[in-house]
Amino acid sequence: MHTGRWIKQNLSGLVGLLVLILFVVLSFFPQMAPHDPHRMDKDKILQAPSAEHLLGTDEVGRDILSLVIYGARISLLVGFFAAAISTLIGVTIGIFSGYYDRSWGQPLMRLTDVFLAVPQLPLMLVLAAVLGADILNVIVVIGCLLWTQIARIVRSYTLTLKERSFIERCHAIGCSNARIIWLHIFPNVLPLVFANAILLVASAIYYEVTVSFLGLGDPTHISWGMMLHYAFESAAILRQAYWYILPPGICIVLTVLSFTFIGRRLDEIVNPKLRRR
Amino acid sequence: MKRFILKRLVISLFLIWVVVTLNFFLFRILPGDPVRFLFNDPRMTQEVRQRLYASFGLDKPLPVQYGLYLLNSARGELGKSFVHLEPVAKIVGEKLVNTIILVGPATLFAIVLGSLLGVVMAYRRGTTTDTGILGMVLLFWATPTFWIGLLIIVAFLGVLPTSGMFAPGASYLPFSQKIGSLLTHLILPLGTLSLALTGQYAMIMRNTLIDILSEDFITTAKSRGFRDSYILRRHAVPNAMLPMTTIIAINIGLIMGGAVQTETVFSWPGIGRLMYDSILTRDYPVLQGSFLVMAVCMIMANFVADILYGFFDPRVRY
Amino acid sequence: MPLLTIDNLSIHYRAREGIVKAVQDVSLSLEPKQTLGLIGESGCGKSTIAMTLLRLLPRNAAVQKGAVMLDNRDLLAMDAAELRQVRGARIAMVFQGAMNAFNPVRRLSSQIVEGIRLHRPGIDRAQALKKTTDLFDLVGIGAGRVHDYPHQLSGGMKQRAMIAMALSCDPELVIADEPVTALDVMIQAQIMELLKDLRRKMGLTLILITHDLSVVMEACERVAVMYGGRLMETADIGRPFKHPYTQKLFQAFPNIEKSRDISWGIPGAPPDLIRPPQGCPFAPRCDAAFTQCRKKMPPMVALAPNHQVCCHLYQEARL
Repeated sequence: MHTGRWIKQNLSGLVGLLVLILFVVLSFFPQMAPHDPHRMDKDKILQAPSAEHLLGTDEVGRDILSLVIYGARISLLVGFFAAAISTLIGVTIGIFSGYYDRSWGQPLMRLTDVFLAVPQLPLMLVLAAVLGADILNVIVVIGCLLWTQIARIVRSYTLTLKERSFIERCHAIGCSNARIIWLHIFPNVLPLVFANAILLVASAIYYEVTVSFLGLGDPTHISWGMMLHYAFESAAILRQAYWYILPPGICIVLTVLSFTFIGRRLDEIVNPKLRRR
Repeated sequence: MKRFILKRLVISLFLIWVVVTLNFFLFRILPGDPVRFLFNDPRMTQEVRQRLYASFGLDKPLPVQYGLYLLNSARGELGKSFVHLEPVAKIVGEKLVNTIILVGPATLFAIVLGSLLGVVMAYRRGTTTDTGILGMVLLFWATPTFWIGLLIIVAFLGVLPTSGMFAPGASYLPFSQKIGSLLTHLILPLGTLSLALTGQYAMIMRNTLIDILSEDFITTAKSRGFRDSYILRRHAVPNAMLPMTTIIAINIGLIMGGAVQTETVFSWPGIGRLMYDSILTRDYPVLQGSFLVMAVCMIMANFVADILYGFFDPRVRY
Repeated sequence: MPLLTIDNLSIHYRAREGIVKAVQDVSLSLEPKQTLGLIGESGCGKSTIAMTLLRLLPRNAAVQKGAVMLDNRDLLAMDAAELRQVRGARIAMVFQGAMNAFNPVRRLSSQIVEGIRLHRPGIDRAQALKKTTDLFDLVGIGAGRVHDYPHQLSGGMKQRAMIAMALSCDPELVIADEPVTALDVMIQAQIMELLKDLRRKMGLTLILITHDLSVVMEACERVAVMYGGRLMETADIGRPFKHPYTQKLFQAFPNIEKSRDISWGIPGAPPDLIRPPQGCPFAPRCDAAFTQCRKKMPPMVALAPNHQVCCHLYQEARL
């Protein structure tokens, strides 16, 4: 009985997890793809789905299903690492600006305000254009611009934690600040951060895809965003090649949604204000 | 209240200064020779190169360059486009108007529709209506704006215009005649951007309203005999406007991101499309200029939002 | 002819851990112009009853059985339209902790006037405003503050404003849920004086819900004692209490006039309302408990016309 209830309550999170596992498996075992994604065939340009090419072909004759499977890797990789960088920066800034509120707090908050004041996608585009379209650059650029949300959450939580009596007691027995931060603040902040970090992956994937679509992705790697970029550039839409446009997009939506569901469910568990009564 | 406005103004000016400075250093951290981006002609002699340097002021010491840059930016002098050889400010200015034509109505529509959906979801929280709308809203939230645009193009190809702002040649017609062309060309990109943004605002309104509906004064109002619809309208939503305004202001960047994507997909000649083109053609002055204008617009919009917040929340004023 | 009659009311909450039997088989009656004190520990069900009277229970709560009769109409059976006419106009509620009871972005005058105009459609704004101003004078805030925003008032003044708002539509019955708990002692005294004064002036019928015995002793004529979701005793103030719990309660309350005794607490903890005990809920903590107490719930017996007690120690009085 209890398992049934548990499944129902966590349904969205579980579905998200399943979809995510599917994509992770695909990215680790792309050999499952039916064709070599790089193989171009000038006789089979922009073909609709057929028995041989289940999702059709692109404008240079590559099999779309294989491209999609290989593309999973990049999106997940970039999303994960960019989110990791953001989380790292966000947690550090959040804890320090919260704990040292009176000294570092204000300038760090100003810094956060600056990053919030600029439009994110345009800035990513400018930075990527300046630094060059390389997968590492994309990860770093996205990572360096998405930390503000986590920083704010961590900062406000650190501020509340700071006032709790157990921290006062630590000071009273002579704990150093570093010790308090590492042993007390940081572990308490982690659950909150974890849920938000997962939501951050969803954002990172979204931005990676968009930056790639707009022409600043890494052309040496297959990614869903780049696929759509080529679809757009080659005027495949004017030929109404839905099989080219739908699959990468659906994969993107599914991946982003799965991280979103997992992240939201975790956030509900950690943040009592969101709990359904 | 006046002090509040003044403080916000000072912060906004500070932020603009930061953005301008960022812009300045961004292109100077490029490795290599900046002139190379301009004219990568191997036959260029050293002497010509020197003259080009001088004409761009690149031979002056860095602080002087910076000072000049600040001064010029304040005057609206943003340099010349590499590709079009016209002043950047002029190009950006023209495109900005087009962007506003698209983004203005789209944002308004999205806020109104999103708020309505958010109110319904919050009021019927936990029921199938809520879950259903929530699912749809999340779906749109997770879908990249440009992909929505691509799908819409594929769906409406031949039915509605899918690129540009006017029918070819129509921009030379007098206003009353070209307005029709403008409107038909506006439909698809407007729809795309609105759909993409609605999800955002629906979620914000839903979360905000759920918090507010659990507050004591709502229970008090119910205990006095008011209808639920009245309580929503005159008590809950007015309180929701406060956090809504703040969060919408923070997320203005998303509107701009959406604009870039929509304009690119629909070839709408606005600032977003300009940015995309300048990336393709490596027209760095235009790229810088359009980014700067976007950032300044965003900072100003935030400023306006701050003022509005003060208007909505008497606790700030008194 | 009682103004309000609560008949065998039972209310359950659906919680994650199970069904919470918050209120079981409670019956009460209230005469006009009477002041009833509803007392008990936290979680004994008294606030639940109050919220049920105006049907303000949250979504996960449900009335299992019983009726609440106002004159001859069952409040629990009323449709939404009729209920909205009762709320505010016939029964008004003053809530616990008035900190957030007002809409923070609207002026007090606007909020109270809208209530007056809701229940008296004929009245115009000026008249409603005059009434509000008079009420503010009556409750001791002063007419000058009527256009203020809620955050401009102190805690005590906000409570007075809440009382003014509750009285604004001339209700017959006012329910005050912990009216002074969130205030400091000096303000508490002032508010209690105010309530007694208003009651006298306006002939109010009052239900005071509290865990604070001093409030009950000062302002109430009758008291109903609740424990573990059940009614233990109803009696007039002044008569000796018969139920062991009531006796312990009033014993635990230090008396400033008597000698300095050690104040006695009641050892033990309140019962689990998801799995309530079979017998009397107070049995585990009761000094006078015997086997029957743990096995069977005692019936409510009348010791005197206005004195009911629910305890195996007592049987129906032979009149």
